Amino acid sequence: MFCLTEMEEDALKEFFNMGLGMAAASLSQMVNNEVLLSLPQLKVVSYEEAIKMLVPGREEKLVAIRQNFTGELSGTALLIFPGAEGLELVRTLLNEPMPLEILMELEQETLLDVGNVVLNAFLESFTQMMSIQFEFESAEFLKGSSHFLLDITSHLAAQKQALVSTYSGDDERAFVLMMDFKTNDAEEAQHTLSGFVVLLFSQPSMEILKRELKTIIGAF
Amino acid sequence: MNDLDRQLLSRALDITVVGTIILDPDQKIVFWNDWMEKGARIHAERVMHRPLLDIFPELAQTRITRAIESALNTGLPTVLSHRLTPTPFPLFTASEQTDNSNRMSQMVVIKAIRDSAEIRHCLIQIQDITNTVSREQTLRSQAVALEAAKESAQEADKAKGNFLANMSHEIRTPMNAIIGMSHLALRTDLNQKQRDYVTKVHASAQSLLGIINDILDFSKIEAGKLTMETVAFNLEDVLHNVSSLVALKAEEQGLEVNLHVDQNVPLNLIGDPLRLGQVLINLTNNAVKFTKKGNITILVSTDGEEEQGVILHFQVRDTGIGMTEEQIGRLFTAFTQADSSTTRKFGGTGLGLTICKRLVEMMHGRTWVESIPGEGSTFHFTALLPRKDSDRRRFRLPSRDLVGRRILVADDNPISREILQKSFESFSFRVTCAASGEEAIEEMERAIQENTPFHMVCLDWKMGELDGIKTAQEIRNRFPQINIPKIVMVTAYARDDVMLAAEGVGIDLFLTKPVSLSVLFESALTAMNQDMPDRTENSGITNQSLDLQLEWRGTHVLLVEDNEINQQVARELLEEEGITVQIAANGQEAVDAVSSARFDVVLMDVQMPVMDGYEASRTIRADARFASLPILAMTANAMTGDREKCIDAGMNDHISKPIHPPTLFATIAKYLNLKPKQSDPPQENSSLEEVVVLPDQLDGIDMQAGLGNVNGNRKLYRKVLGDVYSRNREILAKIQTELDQGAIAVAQRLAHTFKGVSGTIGAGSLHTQFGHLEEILKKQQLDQVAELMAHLAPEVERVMTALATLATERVVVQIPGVMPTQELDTNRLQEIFRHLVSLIDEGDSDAQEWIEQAGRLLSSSLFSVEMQTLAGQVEEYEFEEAMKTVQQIVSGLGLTI
Repeated sequence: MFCLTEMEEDALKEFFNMGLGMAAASLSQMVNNEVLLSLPQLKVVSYEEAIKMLVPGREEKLVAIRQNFTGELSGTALLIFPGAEGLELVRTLLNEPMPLEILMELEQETLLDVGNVVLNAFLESFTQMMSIQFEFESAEFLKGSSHFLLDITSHLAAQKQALVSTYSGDDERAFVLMMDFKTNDAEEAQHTLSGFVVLLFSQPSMEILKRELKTIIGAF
Repeated sequence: MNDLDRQLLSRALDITVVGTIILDPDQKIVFWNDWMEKGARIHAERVMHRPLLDIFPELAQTRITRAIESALNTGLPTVLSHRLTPTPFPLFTASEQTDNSNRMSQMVVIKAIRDSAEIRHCLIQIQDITNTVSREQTLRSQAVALEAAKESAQEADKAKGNFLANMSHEIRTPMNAIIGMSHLALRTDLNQKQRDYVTKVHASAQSLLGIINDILDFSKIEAGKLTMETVAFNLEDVLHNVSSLVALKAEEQGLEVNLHVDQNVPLNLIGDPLRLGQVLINLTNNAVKFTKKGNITILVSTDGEEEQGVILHFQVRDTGIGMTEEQIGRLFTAFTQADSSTTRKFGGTGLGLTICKRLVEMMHGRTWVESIPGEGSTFHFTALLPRKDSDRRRFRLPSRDLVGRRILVADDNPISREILQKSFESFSFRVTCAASGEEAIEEMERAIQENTPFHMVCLDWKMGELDGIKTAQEIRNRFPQINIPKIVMVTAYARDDVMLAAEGVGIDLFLTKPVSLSVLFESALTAMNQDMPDRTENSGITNQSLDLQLEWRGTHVLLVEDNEINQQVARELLEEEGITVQIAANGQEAVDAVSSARFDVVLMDVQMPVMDGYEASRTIRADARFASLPILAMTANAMTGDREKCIDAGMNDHISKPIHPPTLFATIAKYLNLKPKQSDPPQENSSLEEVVVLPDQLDGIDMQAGLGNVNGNRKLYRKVLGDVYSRNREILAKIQTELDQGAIAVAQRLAHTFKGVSGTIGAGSLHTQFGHLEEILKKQQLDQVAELMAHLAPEVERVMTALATLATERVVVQIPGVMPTQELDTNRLQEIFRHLVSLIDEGDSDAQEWIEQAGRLLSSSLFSVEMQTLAGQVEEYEFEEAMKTVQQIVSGLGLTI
């Protein structure tokens, strides 16, 4: 059973907050409009709990940006939006009224771009603290149910790691970070959109992560 | 990897569909594929080993440069989308673009790759998405255009709805004038041609109003403005209204209308009775319209019970032309009928069913049709209606001694037979059915043999060989008096016709189809000699018939109306009943008027200049003195919401224009404490102790009606009855004498006069039959005269015998010492008529004034026709004719001149 001490959790939060600041700055610059990002919660939860957090009470298609990372520490970073929120985010970021009700190809691409910026900021702040090397894959756009998106084996299948690690579903753990995007539109109206950043680690990676955290905390 | 492999891989990268650049850690170009050569229009040799920014200086300080740095420094990959990358690579597409720049839209992926020495390089991949961008732009602008088109279409639709609603309102106002004026005109003296014209104007205006109402409803529904009322109502009242409205039309076409309400259907409900009635009337009218022969059946049952109320299931069945599946599919669409040729053949806007469907939906029900072409259609609808109270339907049960009485129903129509059977059974009677007159006789014989005789027989008029009348005759002839049950004739045809045909057969009671349960129950009890129990809730019929006999004189009405024609219509309608009317032309005048004079009721138009009806009502209500003054709105907006607006403004009720006189009077009567005419002694007599001896009943005479005709003046009635006997005992002989002498015109006049007289005294049957005789004489159908006269004799005999008993009694028992003021009236009449006679004799048109005076003294119904004729004759200077008329009246009134 994996769990973090209060100190460890605080340290993680701190890394993530630094990442968020960078992401918000990049996004603001990209869309020429102030974008504020905040991180109201961080939780270490099981697979089932994570699903409950993502879709309270309903099962619907979600959109997500995935970024796999490999190396000593391997896993998947996901930025997940309930279907309509992703569309909404793109549209408010681009400040463009769009009559179409589906996420079009270019909009998916834009969302991928935005997700990539956010996830990069996280990953950068995260990895900078670590003494280990990472390799990153390109960001990808995904659609699916929460079960599908949170199933680490499906992500790992895309990685070479899957070949060596056999995974027991019982002890799957994930970091779930709730994340709010605040933007202003042309009429100065404020939009708040919620998304989730989920970090999924393989079991051996979790152990390495905990070791790394201890080292970092010990250094202070 | 050997050299050959490297060659192959490099070639493969050259020819991919993705632009590919590889930079070394110093951002110098180490790979530049064919795709890049084309897109950038720069050869590989010219870029190799040069920094990227040398080739594309415009990329300095852009996202692309930052992404490259990030890949080289941290290994983090970047996806650069078209929309969020304002400065992409300066590349060109192969195809010509609309903006002539031929700029390529791109998606760029920048990531780190390591070489064999684990040194990070930067891989740049570029996709040409120009086509996708232009495709999405087209889609987007189409979507914008579509949205705009949709909005403007909705806007136009709404405008159309509003326009229709306004137009309908504008049209209703002059319609009020047309309908009201033609109604009034029909009450004046018109020659036959004029009457025909005006009747047609009136009928056409009514049907036009129907169409306008449909359009108004439809547009209100479309505009989402139609609301349902939720008031307590009695289902039977609704059904009664429907059947009385539809029966007339059906009868003209020779159709039978049957009505049956299942035993377990609750009658006291909450909902919108007008809308429910509207749906039923519409469906039934349709059924009548599309049915040439056969019958229309209205059935009401329950389809279950829900928490919110009971689900009623209504069916309107006809035996009409029917519809195919395809035609049914097209029903319920606005402006559509089963097919367009049908529309032309049968007329109509095709709005009715659409409105019905929407109204039913608003009652949480659904509408559907079953039909077989050529055999008929059944329209079904359901409605969810809350019960008024938790009580289930009140059962109609007669007193204990009548429970279980035997009734024989003879009708050749199985539907109507079954309905009568079910209805009687629900009253606890035991019912036997017969499909023909012959069967009925057999059943009666059997019943007598078994010593379980019938107490009542219901006969349909039109059936097979042995029709209702012949069957009744047969019953009377065949069975001993003691075994003859009460005979009730049930018919779908005009009562007068049947009564005439059934004369002398001895029918105890006539009922016209469709018979509502309450009427059937009361009639059955009446026929079996039991008084009906009091109904706590009055049905619409009883109310209305009562209203007609109310004493309106002495009622003061303030009529607030700006339109002069509408003023005239309403005023004349009211004044005809003896109501005193004062007019106010706008709300301000109305406010002034109520504070300066006393009124019993205010009739308030809503839309008026200076001050509208709402404000006027609020102002009047603000004064505590007028807190209970009835204010009734009269508006051309007949919608539920309008009614609520009126009530909100403090008005008590709402009468919709065009004015329907019975509704007008019924509504006013609700707010006034009026006395019924017949029981109201003449006011002049209030101080007089006078006793007029009148028998309780006279054979062949409806004394209540007769008394009503003389405004309840018993003395006058007594006198008139006596005079009828003394002067007309020999009426048939007199007519015969004239006929024998060939004086047909004289005979006709005698028949006419006697018709009037018998009508006045309440001898309804004589009135009808002499009218018939007059008609025959007028048409010179002399061959029919003898038969009719023979037919008439027993009825005349019956009435005269009854009157003879009266003639021998003392007329008035007077309390000594008190002068009967009524006598003064007669004296005054005597004096007026004496004048009148001499003026007419001299050919003086001043006679007109005296005619008016006399008219005021006589009640509205007494000799009204003759008085009108007289006035007309004097106006036309036909003094000789006028003299004959005045003498008729004088003799009819029993005056001596």
